[in-house]
Amino acid sequence: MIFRIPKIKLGNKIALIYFILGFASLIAVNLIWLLPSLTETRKNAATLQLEIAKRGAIEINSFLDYKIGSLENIGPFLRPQEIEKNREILDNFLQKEQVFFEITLIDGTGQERIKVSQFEIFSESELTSRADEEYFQKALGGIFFVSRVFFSEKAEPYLILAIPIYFSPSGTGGVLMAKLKLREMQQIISELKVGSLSHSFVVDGEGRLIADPNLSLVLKNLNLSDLAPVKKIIEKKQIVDGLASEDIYQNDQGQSVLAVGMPLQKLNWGLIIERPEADAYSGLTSKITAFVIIFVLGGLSIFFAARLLAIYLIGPMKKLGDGAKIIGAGNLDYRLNITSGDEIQELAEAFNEMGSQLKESYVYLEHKVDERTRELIAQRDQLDQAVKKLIDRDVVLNEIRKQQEEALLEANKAKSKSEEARIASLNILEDIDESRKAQEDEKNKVEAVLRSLTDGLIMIDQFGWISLINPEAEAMLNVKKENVLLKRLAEIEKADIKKINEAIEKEEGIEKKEIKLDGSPERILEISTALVIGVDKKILGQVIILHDITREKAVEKMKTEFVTITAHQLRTPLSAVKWTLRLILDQDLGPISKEQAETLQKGYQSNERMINLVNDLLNITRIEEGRFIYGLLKISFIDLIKETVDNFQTLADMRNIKIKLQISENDIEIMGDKEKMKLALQNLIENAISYSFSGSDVTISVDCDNMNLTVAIKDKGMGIPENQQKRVFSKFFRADNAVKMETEGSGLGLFLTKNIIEKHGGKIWFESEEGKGSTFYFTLPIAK
Amino acid sequence: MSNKKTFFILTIFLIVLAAVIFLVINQNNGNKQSKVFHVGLLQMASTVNANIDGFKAGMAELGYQEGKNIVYDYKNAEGNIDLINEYAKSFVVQRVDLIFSDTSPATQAAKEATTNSTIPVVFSMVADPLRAGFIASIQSSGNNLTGTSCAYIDIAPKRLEFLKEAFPGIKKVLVFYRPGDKSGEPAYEEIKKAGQKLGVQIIAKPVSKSEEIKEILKNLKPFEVDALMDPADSMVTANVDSLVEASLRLKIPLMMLSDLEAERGATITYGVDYLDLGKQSAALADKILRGTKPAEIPIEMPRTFRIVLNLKVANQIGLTIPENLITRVRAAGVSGGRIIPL
Repeated sequence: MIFRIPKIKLGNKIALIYFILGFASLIAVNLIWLLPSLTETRKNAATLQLEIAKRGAIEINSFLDYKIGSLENIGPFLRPQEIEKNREILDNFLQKEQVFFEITLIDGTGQERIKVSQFEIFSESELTSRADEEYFQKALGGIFFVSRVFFSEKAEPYLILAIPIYFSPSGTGGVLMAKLKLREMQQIISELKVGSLSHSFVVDGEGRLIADPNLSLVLKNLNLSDLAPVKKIIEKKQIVDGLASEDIYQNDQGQSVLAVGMPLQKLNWGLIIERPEADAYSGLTSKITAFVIIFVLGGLSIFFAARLLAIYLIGPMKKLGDGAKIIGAGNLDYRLNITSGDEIQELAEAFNEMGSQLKESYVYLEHKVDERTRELIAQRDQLDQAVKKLIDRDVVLNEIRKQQEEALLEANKAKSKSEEARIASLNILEDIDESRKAQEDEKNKVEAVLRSLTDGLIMIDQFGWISLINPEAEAMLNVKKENVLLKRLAEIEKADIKKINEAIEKEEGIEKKEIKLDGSPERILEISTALVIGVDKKILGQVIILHDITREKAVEKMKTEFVTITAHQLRTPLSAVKWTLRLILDQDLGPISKEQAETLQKGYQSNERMINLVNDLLNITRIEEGRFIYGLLKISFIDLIKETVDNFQTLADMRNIKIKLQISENDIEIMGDKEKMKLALQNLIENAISYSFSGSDVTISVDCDNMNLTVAIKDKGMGIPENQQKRVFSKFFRADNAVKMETEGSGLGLFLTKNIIEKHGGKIWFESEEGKGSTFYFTLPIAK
Repeated sequence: MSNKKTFFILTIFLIVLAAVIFLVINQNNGNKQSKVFHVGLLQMASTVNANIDGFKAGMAELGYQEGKNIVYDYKNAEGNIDLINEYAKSFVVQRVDLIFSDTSPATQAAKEATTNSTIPVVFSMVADPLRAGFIASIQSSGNNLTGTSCAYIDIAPKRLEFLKEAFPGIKKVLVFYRPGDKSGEPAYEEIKKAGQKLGVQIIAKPVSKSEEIKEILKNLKPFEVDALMDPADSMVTANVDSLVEASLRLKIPLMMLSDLEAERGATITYGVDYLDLGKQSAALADKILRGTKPAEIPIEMPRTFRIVLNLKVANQIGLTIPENLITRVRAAGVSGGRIIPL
């Protein structure tokens, strides 16, 4: 957008729009009358002024016409030779028409015959000839003559009128010449007013000022022919109508004036009326003033009305807004009371309806909110814990930062020290370079080693964040390093990683734990964890090793299946051989010799061992396949152990081993599978007897407390080498010394026994010292 | 801005605006001249009261209403020179807006009193202001004076002619005058010249005091003179009663100046219309009060000269005025003449 519309309240918008529209209309309407009115006013001012000038011209013409006429009127009464009579006529005329101050009767030859004056007495000897005077000649020619303006000794402007007269009855001619004071014309001019500031004056045919209210100007004999209206009148004999541009000019006082003018044709004079332009166009001023007043008052009124309108319209809307706020603030019982009779009232009613519905919804929502609140509280607690961990981390980071700063400080100190030893350290630098290169090589080697590891490796730092993951781990878990680094296992949304995380959280220091990964084909990882301890014995984190045992599992499964199949296949023939040999040894098929019996007995024993082996294998496979079913019943452990010990009495006697049974309680009952438990006891007792030296004893003790019974089977036999003790409970394991001492054995017995004991809720462990003997312990929960 | 504030401010603004408009309009419609002018009227003698009345009437016609926008301070010296000077000075002290003086002595006093002042003076009833030294020229006084001349010096010959025309048998005319009087002496000179043209002997009697006029008249014998004539000397004019008495006693016509003298017994008068001259002077005063300087206003001559025939007195002294003259006077109209009947 080129410009942004500022935010304006609706009431102000309405008022503004109304104001703009109303104001524009007001201006437009007023301009419609004002503009033509201004033109009309100008024209009217000039027209009025011209009318006055016309009236003045008529008056002046009338004045002169009257005066000439009055002269003409006495003509017929004059007699050529009746001097005194004529004098009397002239005296009477002069006394009556005192605007004339001198009259002379001139005969046809130009000789003055009678001369009368207001002031002087003329004797006959003072009368002269006027034959050469222009006025006489023109008047005698039959045309009345009007002279230019003269000024008397008394500074009175006057002109000479000369008219032809015809003496009756002779009809001869003469001239009557009269001097006419122009005071009356002065009076006419003075009374020609347009407004109070106008100025009228008369100029003659040469542009000289001959009449002006200010007589002193007339006496100055001013020539005004340079003025445009004067020029127009005397040169072109045109009316000056005041509408031309040259009709407005600056007068001799520097005032801008509007001039109109009328030519006085008979006299070749011009009447001009000047009026100050401001005065002439005062009508304009008043119209413009009226316009401005209308403009201002109208504008204010419109503004006023606009505000009222806005208040009228916005009032209910404001009420609506306020009410909505109150309802929105939670007061759902509040109801709007608007009776504007329009859509706003409808809207208010709708709001009220909405308020009622909201209230109903509110109760329902409150209940929901409570539930959600509880959930959120729980989440909040979790977040608090996370935050606490973050804070701890921040504290640790600050500590690290401090340590880094201290280290930096130390480094700076070292740097300054190294500067002193710079020369000496050049060689060292070379070594350092080599060392650094070696370190880099080492680092690269480490990285290479990590990359070349066939197992996956994940490093968790002391804060629980993944700080390292090798490519193999990435591949195993189908993740990218950059997506998991600096995250916690729990934060990573992958099912496999969650499984790893669960496993880690359940127990520390996982030895080996199998995790089946999601996806196809099936993958099984064996995870191991170990703490990473720094040189200062600080725990730097934890490393998780992911070993892909999918193939091994597959191989084991195949092996198990093979063993199972083989065992099953072998069992029948072995049973058959056993039965056959038994028959022969029992001489059910005929007598046999001692040598035959010894040989067959060896065969029978070997077959028994094979059968035991096959049974063990089958048990192992059942355990591994989860088919080693336990039927737990309340059994008497004391009875069981006694029974088992009895079974091995013959073997013990053969080996010159004494079995001691130490039982604290008369009876202890457990929840167990009798057969399976018997098998476990058999394995332990058989091992104790088999790996004991001749003449030693095997002590079997049974203790119990409120919860568990504890059995200890102690022998004083070869013991188990320390370096092989960890593998004692592994499948097919037999210690080297055991193998030397007893060439027979499957190595499955303790594996089975451990499984059985653990399945019964117990634990099994041992203590052993090579050459001194072993003590195997196990516990079992007492049946309640 | 709250709605209430808006309304309040608007209301106050509209009231103020209306008041301003009202005041402006009223100011424009007010009187042209709101000032009250103070005009001093300086009169030498009551014989020219009509001139003062004409001045005031003329001012009234021009919009100056006594007591409203103009105040007159009237001072009549009744012929006392010292008093007229004192009155003139008092007007200056009072700082009047204008002094109107009629007759030469009053004008002289006003001129001297305003020597160091700018108070304008409009004079009237001055026979020859130029010869009197009041002005530099007719066109422009060059000072703070202007006014109307009564032109008595100019019409002096005509006055003698009228006297001769009214009473054709007169041969000797007695004329009193004060030597040195700015009006009387030059008028006498003109009368003397005119007498030569008309075949009338002018018997000049230079006087300096009214007592002298009385004394001369008292001692005047019948047929010593044929007529008496006031040359237009204010002192002579002031002695109208003495002259009338002599006129009646000696049964000789008396020529004076105005209606007033005719009403007091002069046989014939020819002079200016005091009232009209006063009005004519008012027009000049109006220009001055509107701002024009006196020096910019030329001195004006009378618009009208008036002849009055006192038929009653003529009859008393056994004289008959020719009918044509009477006709002329009648035809001259109210402004041009007057007949005091038998």
